[in-house]
Amino acid sequence: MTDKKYLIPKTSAEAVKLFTQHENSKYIAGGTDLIVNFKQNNIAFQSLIDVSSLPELKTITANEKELTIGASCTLQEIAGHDFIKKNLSILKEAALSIASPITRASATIGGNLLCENRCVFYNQSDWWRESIGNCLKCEGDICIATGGKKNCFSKSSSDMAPALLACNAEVSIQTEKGTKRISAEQLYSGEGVYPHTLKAGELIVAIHIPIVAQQFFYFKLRQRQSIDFSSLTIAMSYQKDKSLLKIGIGSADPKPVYWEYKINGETKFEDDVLQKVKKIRFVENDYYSRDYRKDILLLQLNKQYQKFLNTK
Amino acid sequence: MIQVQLKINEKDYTLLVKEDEMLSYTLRERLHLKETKVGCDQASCGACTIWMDGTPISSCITPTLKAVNKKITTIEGITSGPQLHQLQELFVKHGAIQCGFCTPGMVMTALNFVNNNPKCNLEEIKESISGNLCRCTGYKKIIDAIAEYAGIYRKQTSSIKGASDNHTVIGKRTPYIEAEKKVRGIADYADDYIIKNALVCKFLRSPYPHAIIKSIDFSEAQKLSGVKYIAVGKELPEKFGVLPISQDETAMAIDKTRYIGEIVAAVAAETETIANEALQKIKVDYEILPAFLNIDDSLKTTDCFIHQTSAKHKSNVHKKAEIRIGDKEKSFNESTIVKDLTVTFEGISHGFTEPHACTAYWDENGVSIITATQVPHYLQKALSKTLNIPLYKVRVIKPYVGGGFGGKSDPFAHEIIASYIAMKTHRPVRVCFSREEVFLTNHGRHPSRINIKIGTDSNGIIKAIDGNMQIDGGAYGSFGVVTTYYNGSLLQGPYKTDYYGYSSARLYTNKPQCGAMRGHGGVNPRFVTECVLDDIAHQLKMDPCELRLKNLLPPGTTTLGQFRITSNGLKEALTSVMEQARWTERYGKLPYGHGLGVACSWYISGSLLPIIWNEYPQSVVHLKLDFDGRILLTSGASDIGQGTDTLLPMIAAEVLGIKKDIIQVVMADTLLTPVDLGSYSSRVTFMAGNAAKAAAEKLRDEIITCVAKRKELVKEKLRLNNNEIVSNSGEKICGWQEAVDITLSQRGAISFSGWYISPKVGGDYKGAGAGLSPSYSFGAAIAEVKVNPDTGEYKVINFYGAHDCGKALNPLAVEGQLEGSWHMGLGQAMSEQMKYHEGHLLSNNFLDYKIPTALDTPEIYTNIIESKDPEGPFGAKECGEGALHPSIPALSNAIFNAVGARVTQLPITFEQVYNAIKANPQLAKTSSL
Repeated sequence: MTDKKYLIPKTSAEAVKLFTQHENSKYIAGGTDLIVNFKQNNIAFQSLIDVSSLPELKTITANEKELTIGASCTLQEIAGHDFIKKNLSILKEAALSIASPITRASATIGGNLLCENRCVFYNQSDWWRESIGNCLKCEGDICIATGGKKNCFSKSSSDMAPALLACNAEVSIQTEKGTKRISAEQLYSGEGVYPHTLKAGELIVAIHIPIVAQQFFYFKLRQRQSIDFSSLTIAMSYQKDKSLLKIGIGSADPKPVYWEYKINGETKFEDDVLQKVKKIRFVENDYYSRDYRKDILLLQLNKQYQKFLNTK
Repeated sequence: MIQVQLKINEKDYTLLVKEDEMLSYTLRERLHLKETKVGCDQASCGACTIWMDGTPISSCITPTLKAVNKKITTIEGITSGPQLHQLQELFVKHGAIQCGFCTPGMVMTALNFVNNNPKCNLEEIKESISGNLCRCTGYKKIIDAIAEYAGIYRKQTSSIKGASDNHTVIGKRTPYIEAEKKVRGIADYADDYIIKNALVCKFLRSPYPHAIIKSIDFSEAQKLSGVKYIAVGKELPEKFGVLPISQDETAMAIDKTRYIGEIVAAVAAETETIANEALQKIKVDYEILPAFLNIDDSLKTTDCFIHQTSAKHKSNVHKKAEIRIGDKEKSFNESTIVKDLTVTFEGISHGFTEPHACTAYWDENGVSIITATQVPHYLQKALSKTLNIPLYKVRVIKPYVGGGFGGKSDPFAHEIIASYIAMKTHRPVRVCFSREEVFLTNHGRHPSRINIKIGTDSNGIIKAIDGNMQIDGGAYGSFGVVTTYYNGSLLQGPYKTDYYGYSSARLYTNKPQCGAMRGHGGVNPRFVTECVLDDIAHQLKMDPCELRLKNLLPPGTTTLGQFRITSNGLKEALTSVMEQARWTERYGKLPYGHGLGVACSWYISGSLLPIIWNEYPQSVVHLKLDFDGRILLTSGASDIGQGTDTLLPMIAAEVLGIKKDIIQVVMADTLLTPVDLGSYSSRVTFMAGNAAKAAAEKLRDEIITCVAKRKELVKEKLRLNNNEIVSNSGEKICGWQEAVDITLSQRGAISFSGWYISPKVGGDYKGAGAGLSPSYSFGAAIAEVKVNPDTGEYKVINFYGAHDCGKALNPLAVEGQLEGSWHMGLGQAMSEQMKYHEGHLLSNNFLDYKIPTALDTPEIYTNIIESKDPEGPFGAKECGEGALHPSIPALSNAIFNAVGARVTQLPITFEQVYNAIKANPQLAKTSSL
C-alpha cells in the first residue's frame, strides 16, 4: 500500500485538480465530522486535501441582495458575524446549536452542509457494526433500524442545512470545468447511503443567502444543551409581505426536508403540515422515538405558525 | 511516514509521522508530551483540547499534518516560567481539580475563551466550557475559578453549619497537594508512564452475547512479525471476582462467551498496529446459544444457564435475598394510606474521564503493575490467585487515577492478562482501553426494576416499607451479591418505621457485568421510596418536607435491622435546604410548569465488614520520622481524585501540631505501603483517617516523652504546637528539628503504625452485615425545575443540597465531593443510560452516553452539615457517595410538582415527561411554549 497523502492547495481550482489527480481523495476542512467517521472506519481515504485555509473560502461578504459565506468559514465565525447576527439571526442560532464550542471553532459551514448522515446503528466502531451485522450504509444488506428494510433511513444531520433551506440559500461549487451555482436543496439526494449529490471532486466554495424581510424560528431537539447532534431540527422563515412560510426540517429524514406554505392559500396550515410530515421518513434511529419526534415537529410547527400570524 | 517540523510551545521538533496520524498521538506517543490527555478519542469530551494558532482544537481528531506551519500550544505553553498561569492558580485555589484528568483541556478551553472575550458573563463562561466534560466537580468550582479570572462576581452559594473548634489544619480549605502537578498536566496517570521496550496488548472480543467457543485458531496471527505473545482463555483458568462468594469470571472466556465485548484472546506485539492486525487474523468458531438480555428473559424457567450455578433456580437468577423485620401484615393493615410505585432504571456508567490503562512488568520481585485502580489490595489478591504466584510476588502501584466512582474497584481481566503476558515474556506489557472498551467493561449501576410500597397513618407516620427489586447483573458477579442486599437493607433508614422488608433478586444476563457505582445499591430504591413518600404527602395534602421531618430517625438510635446510628444531622440538612430554597414560601404556589421537589437519604460511612473476611484492621497508616525532620506517611489508601493524599497528612499534622508540608506521602503501592482495603464504600476518611490519627498520636507521644526526658520536664505539661514543643503555659521548650534530634538520638529513624478496627455491632440474622457501617451520613436535596408541558422539555434551574459529613476535614474537598455527587445523580436522572440493542451496547461513547455538560447543570447550592460523629476522625464521616442519592428523586418530585406527572422510567427524558403528561389529559392546563 502506498503512503497516504495530505495536500494543501492554494486555490479551489487547484483543490479540485489535486482531488482528481489523486486516488480516493477527500476534502478536509475542520475535519470534525470526517475524522470521527474515519476513526470508526466509516470512511477511508488515500489523500486528504485540506481546504480549510483557502483564502477565497474564508470570506463573508454582503450586499443589499445577498450574503455570501465562504465554505470554510467556521461556525464560530458565522455566529459572531455582525451582519449575520443582525439580518440572518437564524444562521447564528443554527451555528451555535451545533456540537460544542471547541468543535465550532474549527467546524465549517461547508463541512456542516455535507455532514455525513447519522444513525445510532451506523455511528459505531467497525468492530461494533461487524458484530451486529453490517447495515446498508456500511456495505451490508439490511437496515437494522427498521429491522430489515432494504432502504437506508440514516438522518441528514446538518443543522445549518434546514436553516439555509428556510432562507432559500444557494451554493456555488467548484468543478473541474469551473464553478456552478445550485440551490442548497439540490445538494441532497434523499438517499441514506449516499446522501449527497456532489460528484467526485466537486467542492462547495460559498453559500449565498438572499436578503429579504423575514422573521425566523429555529428549534433543535436534543438531550443536552451542548455536544449533542440533533434529534430534530426545525427552521422556519416567515415573509410577511409575501404571506410566505419557508420550512426546513433536519435530523428527521435522509435529506433535509423543505417546503413552502402560502398563507391564505387553499389548504389550511394544519392540514398541509400533516400531509408534509407524513412523508418524512422518520425511523427508530435516534435516542428519541419516532413518535415523539413527529409529535414535537407537528406541535412546534403549528404553534409557531400561530405566533407568526399574530406578529404585527 | 513523512518527516515534518512542528512548533510546539515555541519549540521546534523534526520528526517522522504517519500521514493520517492525529496530533494527540504525535504529542503523547512520539514526543512523550503527556500533558495532553485523551479521554474519548473522538472529540466528545474535551480532555485533549490544545490550541492551534491560538484556536482551541480537539487534538484527538486533528491530523498532525494540519498542524505543520502552525503554532501549537499545550498546557505547558501557557506559562513561560516556573509560575503557574493565573487561571491555573485559581483552579488550584478554588478546588476546581479533583481527579485532574479533564483539567488541562478545561484550562485550555477556558483560558482561550476569557482571553478572547474579556467582557464575558457567567452564562457565557458556562457555554464556553460546555464541550469539556468533568465527571468529578459538577463544574461549580471550575466556573468559580474561571469567573474570578474573568473578574466576574459570583454569588457565594456554599455554607458550613457546625460548632466552631480551634483546629489549625483541620477544617481549613486546602487545595490538593498534587493540584499544581495536575493543573500543569504533569501528574502521571497510568497511560502517562513511559516504560521502555513495552509491548502493546490488544484484545479480541466476542461479537456474540452467548456462544460456545468451539475453537480458536491464531496460527496466522502468530506468523506476523512483531507479535510476541497470543494468550487465550485456557491459559488462565483460575476464576476470580471481587467477592469470594461469587468468583465466576476468568481473565478470558474459556468454553463460552457471555456478553458482546468479552475478551476471547489477547495479542501482545511490538506496536499497536501489529497487534490490531494480528487480532484480525485470529479465527474463532462459535456456536450460538440463546441469549438472555434483560430481567424478564432471565427470570424465565430454562435449562440454558449463563452460569451453571443458576441451575438450582431453574432460571438465570444469580442471587436472591429476602429480609423482613417487624410484622408486615399488621403494619400495612394499620396504615390508612398505602401507596406503591414500580420504576424501571437503565444501567449507568461511572463515566470517569480517564480510560482504564495499565503497564505490567516482571522482575526479581515478581510481577508489578501500574494500573488505574481504586483497590490495589484486591487486585493483588486476584493476580496472586489467577497467576498462581505468592502474594509477596505481586506489586500493584496506583498512579494518579482519573476518576473511579466504583468503576475501578474490581480486579479486571485486562490487568490479569497484561501481568500474565509480562510474566511469560519478561517484557513490559501496556494496555490502554478505547472509550468503547471502557463502556464494555462496565461494572456500573445495575439496570433495575423496583417496586416500593409504603404505608402510613393518617398523620403521615410511616408504618411499613416494603421493597421488591430485580436487578440486571450482566454476565458476571462483581459486587452483585452485595448490591442485591444493599438494594433492600438501605430501606431501613433514614426514616423510622414499624416494619421494613424486601425481596430482591440479581439476574445474570448476557451483557457486560454490573457492579458497584457511587451510592452502591442504595440509589435506585431510594429514588422509588422518595417518590412514594411524595405521592403519600400529595394524597394527604401534606407538605412533603413536613412528612419527612415527622419520620426522621433521631441521632443515637438503632434501626430495625440493628444498624447503629451515632450522629445524624438530617434534620438540620433538610431544614437548611428548605430555608435556602424558600420552600415554605414557594412550595405549591408556583405557576404550572414550575416546581420544587425534595428528597432525603443516608449512606454508609465505610463497610463495617471487609469483603474478604480476616482479622486484620480495616486500615493501617505508617509514619516514619527521620533525621531530616520529615515525616513519611505511607498508606494503602487510594486517592482517585477525592483527596486522600491531602487529607491523611492534614490529620497527622493536626495531631502533631506541625506544618503539614513536613509530612510527605507515599500511597497505594503494595510493595511500600501498609495494606488498606481500598477506596470503596466511602470508607477512607473514616477508617484510614482514624488510622492516621492513631499513628500520629503515638508519634506525638513518643516525641514529647523523649523531649521531656532530655529536658527533665513533666511530659504531661508539654505539647506540640506550630512546629514547636511548648509548655502548657505556651513557653517554647524547643523547635521541631531539635525535638527530632532528641527523639532519634542513639537509635535513628523511628516508625509508628496506627490502625482502625471497626466496632463489633449489628444483628445476627442472615444478611445483617450488608449495609452495616460504623457510622452513617445523611443528606437532603431540593431541586427546582421549569417544565414545558407541551413538549416535556425541562430544565433544572436550581439545586439545593445539604449533607451531614460529620465534620468537614477539608471543606474544599467535601464541597467538591458533594457537588460532584449531585451532578452525577442529575446525570442519571436526566440523560444517562447504558442503552442496548439485542445485547449490543449503543451508548458506548461520550456522545451517546450523555453526561451533563456545564450548560445542563443547574446552579448548585452547597451546604455542609457538621454533626460531629463520636467515632469519626475529628468527627468526620463520609461525603463522597451519600449525597448522590437524593438528587434523582428530588428532580422527579420537582417535575411532579411542576406538572403533576409521575415518570416511572429513568432517565427522565423529555419524551418521558411528554408521555406522562399526555397519559393524563387533565394535566395539560396551560402552555408556555
